[in-house]
Amino acid sequence: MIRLEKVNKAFGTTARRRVLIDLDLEVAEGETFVIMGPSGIGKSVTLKHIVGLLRPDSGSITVDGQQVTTAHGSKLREIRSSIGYLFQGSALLNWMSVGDNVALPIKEDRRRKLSRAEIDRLVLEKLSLVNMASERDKMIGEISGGMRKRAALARVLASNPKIILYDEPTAGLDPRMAATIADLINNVKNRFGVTSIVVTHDLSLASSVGDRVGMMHLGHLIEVGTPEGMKQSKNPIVRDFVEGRPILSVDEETKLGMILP
Amino acid sequence: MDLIRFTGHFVQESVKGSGYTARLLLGALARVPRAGKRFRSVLDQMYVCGIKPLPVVVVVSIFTGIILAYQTGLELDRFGQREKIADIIGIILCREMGPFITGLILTASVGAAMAAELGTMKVSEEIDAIECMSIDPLDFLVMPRVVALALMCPVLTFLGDVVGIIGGGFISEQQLQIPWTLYVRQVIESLRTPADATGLPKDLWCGLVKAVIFGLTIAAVGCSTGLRASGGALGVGRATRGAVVISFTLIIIFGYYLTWFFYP
Repeated sequence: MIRLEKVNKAFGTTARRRVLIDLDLEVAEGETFVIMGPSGIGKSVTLKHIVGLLRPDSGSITVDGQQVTTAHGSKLREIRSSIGYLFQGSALLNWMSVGDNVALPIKEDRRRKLSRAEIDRLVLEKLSLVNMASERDKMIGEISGGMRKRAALARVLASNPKIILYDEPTAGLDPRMAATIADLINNVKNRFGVTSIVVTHDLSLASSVGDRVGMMHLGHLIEVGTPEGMKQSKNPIVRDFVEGRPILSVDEETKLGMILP
Repeated sequence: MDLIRFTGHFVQESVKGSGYTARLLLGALARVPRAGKRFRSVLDQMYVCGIKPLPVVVVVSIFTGIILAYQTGLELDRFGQREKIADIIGIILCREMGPFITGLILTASVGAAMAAELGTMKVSEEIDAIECMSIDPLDFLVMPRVVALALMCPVLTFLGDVVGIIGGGFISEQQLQIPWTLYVRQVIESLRTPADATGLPKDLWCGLVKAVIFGLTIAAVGCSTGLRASGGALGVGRATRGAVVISFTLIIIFGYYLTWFFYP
């Protein structure tokens, strides 16, 4: 289970911008929770807090009962070993082939002492899950954006995570590739029973993968419900987002206390 | 007020950067016992740091020897001391110019490339991805680069010394009519003295120790500026420029203090 309690985070040195304000979030085991909201609202920042890449100014974050906010070194590595993170830009290592990227977390896992043949078998297995087995020897520069997302997902799966955090998994992809990614997210959930948090502003992705959807606004979740429920929401902010109305201006954000003097 | 704020910010960032770089270098050195596990990465980096810049080091060193011999030779000739050219070339190259020139070449080529490579990885979230896979970036990325530069900088310096001396010998024979055999004998003789407790030519080994320290400096600064890059392509450019400027400055400063330490 993932639990965030009263998490606050502000960035900047002079005019500090508050990105997370008393954020509460609870995701049950095996659940797929979608965080929805416009760009720059703090969705990715939330994910980075869960995996310990960012530290909150205040508040508590626990993953399976283990406190992330105070974890360092081997403790943090232990927590991270159960979490997979699919980055928005895939974050594959360019100097390696697709296969070597997928093999990396397997080779680097000190608990698993596997032979070369076993590593090769696992790499092929993970690449097959995302229909990328034939691209194994290609370099990252030789494959498309959609393939990179799938290769990155195979790399995430290679570490057998119990939790997967998806950061804008369909950003920049055409509708068919986006649908393929949505299918993969559902397949991974059904096959491995992983807990997932998906950050997106893609409503169709939210509908197709989410058990619950949370709308993020002013640094916290203003409404949580089922994907269908969100579409019927009476909340004007949710309605504005669903219907694609313009977002707040800087003056409005300042008025609402999002920007600290 | 702006000037005060700018100065304060500059001092704060410099102190933070120095602390981060020192911590990074110590962290990388503490992981050196694991270099065997990263043997392939270390070898790859040794190729990048040692083989790729080799042609530049050879060309620059040979011309440094030529220029040094030509300019010094002309002046020595005026005083009838032209046979001293071999002593001067040998000592200056091994003691000071060899490590200094190699350090500058490696800063501009390898150090800048390290900052750009790691900076790009940082801004494209590859470093974050490595951390999320529970891989220690210091062990995976920094230590192989530090080990490779600490090993290859003295190797290139030694080659640069030899090539520079050969360049100087060429000019000595052509312009100053000093025979090769005499030149080589005098270079060896000049490097033998003053002998110290190690029994090794002091000018040579002091130069090589300098090269090791320059190698560590270039790697630490290149990795540190790269890993602190932020703000997309602009940030990577800033990190690369920072790596070159800081390494150049430190090489000159460390060069002086090392000379002062070895030749008090």
